[in-house]
Amino acid sequence: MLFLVFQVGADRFALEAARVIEVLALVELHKIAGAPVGTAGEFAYRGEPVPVLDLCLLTLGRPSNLRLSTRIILLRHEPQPGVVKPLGLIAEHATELANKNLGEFAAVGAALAAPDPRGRLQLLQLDRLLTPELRDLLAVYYFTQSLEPEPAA
Amino acid sequence: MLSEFKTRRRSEADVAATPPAAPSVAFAAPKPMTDCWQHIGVWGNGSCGELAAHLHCRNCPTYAAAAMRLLDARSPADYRQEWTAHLAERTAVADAGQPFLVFRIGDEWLGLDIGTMEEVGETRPIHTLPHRREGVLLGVINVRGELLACVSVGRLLGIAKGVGTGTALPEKSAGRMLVVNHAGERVAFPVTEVRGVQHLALPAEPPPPALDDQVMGAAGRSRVEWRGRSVCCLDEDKLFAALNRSLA
Repeated sequence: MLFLVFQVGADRFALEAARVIEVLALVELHKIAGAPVGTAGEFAYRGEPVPVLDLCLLTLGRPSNLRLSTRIILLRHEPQPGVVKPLGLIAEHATELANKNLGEFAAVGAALAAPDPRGRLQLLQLDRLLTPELRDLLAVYYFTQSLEPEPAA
Repeated sequence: MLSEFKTRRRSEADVAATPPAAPSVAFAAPKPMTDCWQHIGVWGNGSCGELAAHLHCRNCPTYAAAAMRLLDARSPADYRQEWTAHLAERTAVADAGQPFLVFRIGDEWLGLDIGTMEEVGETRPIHTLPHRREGVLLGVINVRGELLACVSVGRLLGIAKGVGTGTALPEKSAGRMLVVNHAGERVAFPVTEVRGVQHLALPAEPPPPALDDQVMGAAGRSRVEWRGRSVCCLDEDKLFAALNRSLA
């Protein structure tokens, strides 16, 4: 199974590559007023607004570095069973891939980690990252009806 | 930035530096930039112990990690604006239809379902077989060490003349060798030109082909208009059946 490897601060994290739609350059984001901590903003992806969370902000409390290697991982987020929506995550050093089995990730404390030649590799558990406030914000993007009239069928 | 590494003058102390014991890299704690490949690697005196394992510096994790550090640079001006604008655009809706590889043999434009396509490669020498001069089988070719039968689809379909019909093979033209695989059966055939994968919408009920349309009659599925040309989409079942008949 292929995993996308990135860093949050000094720690290396892995995300199933099958969930990734695209790895994008760190585009300019529009800030969302009143958004909960951890939100980086939103950007227009192929004409649709996509919310973006900053993994460094969520975990370390500081925004991600503005580097070429800091990228937006656009992934398929499943807020409800059967509903798949795009979600952007800003991650530092999103430059590598690793081939691992899901079974290699063993529970170490609260984390799921796998041994790796370069230190341990943690599996990113998105559900743990999303606070109720963040879920509410995402719900606005994913479940609010658009104001434009539906095209006549 | 790479040129900076290359042109940097090295002191004697650098040259005497020992090779890195283990090719481990920690991005977060920035280590002093190493350019070991310049003095103990293949561009230096080649004394690095890791060379025995990796043969060349470009295979070494230390070198790869140094390359990765190029991405730690700040983004150039306009980089973010450019990407923001690029991603905001809606992509053109892919025109409905089935993907076909569109190619030309002689003067005839043909389409073949990309499910059967295995490879589009350069033309290469065809080794003819004794007593097989006139038929559809042109000979055998070497595709990465594997011998494949090379056939002339042009001759099979009755395309009169041109590159790929077997009469004249491309030399310096844009000729390509296609390798197709149908139910485990692999053959190669030369074509004059390849125009990439195109989405062609096949009519649900193809009109009966014209009586003098030899290509359609041989292995065609239906004819489709594409950029002002009439492309004959081939039926892979019919094509391979015809091939097998003529090779037998």
